[in-house]
Parts: sequence; C-alpha cells; structure tokens
Amino acid sequence: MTGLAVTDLCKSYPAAGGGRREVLKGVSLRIDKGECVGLIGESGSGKSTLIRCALGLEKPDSGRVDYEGSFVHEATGPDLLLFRREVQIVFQDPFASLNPRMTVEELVGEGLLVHRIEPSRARRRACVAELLGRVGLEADAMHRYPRAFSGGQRQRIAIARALAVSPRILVCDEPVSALDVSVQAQVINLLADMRSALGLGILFVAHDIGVVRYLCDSVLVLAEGRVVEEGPTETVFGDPQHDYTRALMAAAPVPDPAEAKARRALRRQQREAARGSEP
Amino acid sequence: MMARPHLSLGDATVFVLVALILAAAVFGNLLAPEATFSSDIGNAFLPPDAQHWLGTDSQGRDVLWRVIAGAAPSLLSSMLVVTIYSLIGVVVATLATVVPRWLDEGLMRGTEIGLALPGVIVAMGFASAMGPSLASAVIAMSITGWPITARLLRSITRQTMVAPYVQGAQVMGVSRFRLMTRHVLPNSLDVLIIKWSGDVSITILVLGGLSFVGVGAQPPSAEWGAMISDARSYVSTAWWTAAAPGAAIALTAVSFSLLGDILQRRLGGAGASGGARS
Repeated sequence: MTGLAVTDLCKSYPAAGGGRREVLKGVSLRIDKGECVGLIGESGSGKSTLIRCALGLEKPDSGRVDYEGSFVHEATGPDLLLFRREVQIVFQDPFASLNPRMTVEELVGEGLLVHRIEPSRARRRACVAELLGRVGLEADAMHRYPRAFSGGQRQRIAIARALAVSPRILVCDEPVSALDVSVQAQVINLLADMRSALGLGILFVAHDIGVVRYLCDSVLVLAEGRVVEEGPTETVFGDPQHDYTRALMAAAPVPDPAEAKARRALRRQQREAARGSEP
Repeated sequence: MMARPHLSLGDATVFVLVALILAAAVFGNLLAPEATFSSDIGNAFLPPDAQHWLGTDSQGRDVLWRVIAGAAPSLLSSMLVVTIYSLIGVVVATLATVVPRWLDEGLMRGTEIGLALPGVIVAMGFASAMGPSLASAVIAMSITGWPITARLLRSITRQTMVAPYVQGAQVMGVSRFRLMTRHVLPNSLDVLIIKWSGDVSITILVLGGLSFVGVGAQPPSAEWGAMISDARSYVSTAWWTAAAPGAAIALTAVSFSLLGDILQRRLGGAGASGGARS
C-alpha cells in the first residue's frame, strides 16, 4: 500500500542580501492511507514550504514527491488528475480559504464538477446536502456565502469541500489554530471520525502537542529545514530528544496545578541555564 | 468589519447628477426639438432669456438643447472608449497571470511600450489617415488606453493568485480557465469599476480636447468639444455659446471622478489594494 511519499526534498529561495536561503534540507516523510502523521515545528522551520512542495504547488530544487508510484512534479493526464483528486488540503484560516464569491453549494460541489463525479446539477446538489450533513451543517446552508458562517462552520465547509472528491490523503495545515478553543475540539473530532469512517490518511500540521497526541499515530519534528525527530507519537513525546520538542512540551498547558508549578520551575531553570551558558 | 456608510447628501448629489447626465445621453437626442440641429440665422446669438435659457449660438440654435443632445457623443463615446480598453486590459492581465513567466515578462514589456504611446498623438495620426471624426478618435483612444489598466489588474491578479482559496482550487485540480474565471477574476475586478468611473472622467476631457482641436467630432455635431471649438470665435460677444458646453464637460468630468471616489469608498474598503486612478 503506497500513499504520499516525500523523499529527500530540498528547497531554497533567493535571500534578501543575495545568495539563497535553504528552507528544506533533505526532508523525507510518508503518509499511508488510513494513517495520521503529525508534523510539528516552529515558525520558519519549513512546514509551509514542505506542504506546498508535497502538494505540487511548488517545484523543489531536488528530491521527489511520489503518489501511488508516480512522480507528482512530472505527472500529467490521468496520473495528475488522480493526484489532484485523491490528495486534498484544509487550510489554517477558514476566512481566507473559501472563495467569498461562491456559494457553499458551489464551493462544496466544485470538486464533484471538475472531476466529473456528478455532472448533473441536481445530483450534485443532493451530494452537497449529504456532505454538509456529514460535517454537521444544515443542508440549507448551501445557498449562502461563506461570510454568513462562523470560523468553525467555515472550517466544516472547507472539510466538506475537501471530502467531496473522496480523497485518500488530507493535508491539514494547522486547521484549528485560528479557531476558538471551544470549536477546536469539534473540528478535531470531525477529522478523527472522517479518518476512521473513510480510511483517510492525514498529514496534520500543528503547534498544539495535545491535539497531535490525540489524533496522530506518528509524529515528525521539523527544525531549520530538517527532520530532527520522528517516530510513534508516544515514543517521541515520552522521551523527547530535541530541544525544540522539549521546549514545545514544556510550553503546553497542563490541567494539574501541581504539575504546572513544577513545569514553571523547570522552565525557569532552563532559562537560567541558557543565560549562564552565554559568554 | 465596518458597517456600510450611510448615503450622505454629497454622495446622493453625485448619484443624481450622474443619473441626470446619463439620462441626457440616452434620451437627449430623442427629446430635443428639431431646431437643435437646423439653423435659424435670424435668431443667432440671442443672450440667455426665458425662451432660450442658455441663449442661442451662431446658427440660432438653442444652446441648452444642444448641450443636452451633446451628452450622447461626449459621454457615451468616452464610456465606450474606457469599456473597450478595460476589456483589453482584463484580457492582457489574465493572460499575463496564466502564461509561463517569460511570456508574462514579454507581455509586460509590450505593455510598457504601449504606455509610452500617448493616445492624443495616435488620435492625430488616425485623424490624418482616416479623416478627422469622432470614430477615429474613439478607436485611437481605445487601443492606447489599456496598458495602465492591464498593469494595475495584473498586480492585483497576482496577489489573488496566492490567496489560500486559489491555491486550494489548484490542489483540487480545476482547469486554468475555471481558476481564472471563477476564482481569480471575480475577486480581482472590484477595482476596475472604480477605475472605470475615474477614467471616463479623464476621457471626456481628452475627447473634448481632441474635438476642440479638430481631430474628433466635427461640426455640426453637438459634441461638447466641437461646440466649444465652434464658439471660440465669438467668446467675447456671445460668451454663453462656449461657457455652456465647457460647464457641461467640467460638471460631467467632476461627477464621474467623484463617483469613482464614492465607489472606492463603498466597494474598496480600507484593505483594497491598488490606486483607483492613475
């Protein structure tokens, strides 16, 4: 069984003062159908570039992206169409990821139309209604524009839009970090449900360790364009090796006051140690 | 988000003015009495009075009715010019957005050459080649006006191209045609309405100027520039013959310019990109 495989990806951009800035320095990852992989890394670690390359929106300098045995950046015709159908994305900001000039019906039905899954308008409408129901929205939402909905509802519309074409792999680029905490859980649970119901493979990009822990089987930690840590979620978080992973875990809130106090002490200690090591 | 501003007295005035001028352009010729276009030398150069509100001209024609009848050749031709070159601009900007980078560069260099070509000079060339007429002025202005629109739109479509919903559509595999017509253009063309209005204002001045120097509309047309040209010999004795069409040009240009500002305020919002007018 093969899914989406990224091998040894390198990408650099022209830097401000001449020369080039290497954003990705040989990154590899793979997602099989039905598997959920977490990708964490601080801002500027290359997460977005990695996703853009993996989705074929940008050409890497070297390395390859394969889907179902074909090289994504050179795929044409049926191979490309298969990739464009079976790999979908849900973006971070649901206020920017839905075309404001399209109704929900057009947004959710677009994939059905362009991939000729449901060419008939009436059938497409029935399909859209069913998809909306599946993500917990009323069917009459389809006649409205995205501006009529809240952030959480918009993210559900975005998920329905992605799921319309029955994808195998769903890339979620921080899908809940722009949402209220109370809504985050709903969207996460929706993704988890879809995963088990549809056998969806998910690449879940996040900052929030709690969410990754809850949702993902395995996790990759990206820092400065390299994968610095990877493995089953519990192994990585149970015994973090890299500084960034440790810092991230120390920053995550815990529901136990005693534990939180201990954490604060630990962080203070780390800060002092860091200060002491400076010349 | 800011609430939609109320219709202020100033905005309402501009809307009414534009509506009146448009009504004159569309219906003026139908309503004007026969005498608007035929001469009655016995009544030449009558100053404004109760019967001829704006007096009569050298041929004894009523100046007010001529100004109203002149709205059609003056305004409609300007609107036609701006509409044609805006469409050319949209096509060029759209092409520049979808073609490979080197072709985009080529198109933009071509646009810069177009920018260096002044419409007035081309109009004079057309006038000498095809004979001076409103049609040749309109053609010349139409084929020289597009570069600024094309450049402005291309910078906006380029911004729209990187919006997440456009990238999402690409991931979904929509065709380039659908990507442009459904996702990029509908979210990029707001500024065009604003620019269109401002450009109509400028084009009225230019077309009037061309008619005035004799390379646009020809007498006996009631085109405002042609009217002023006709009246310039009598300015010292019959000032109203030149002042009325001059005021009409000024009022129309200002109305459309203000309309552009109002549209920008209402449609553009604070975050709108790009200037409304060049």
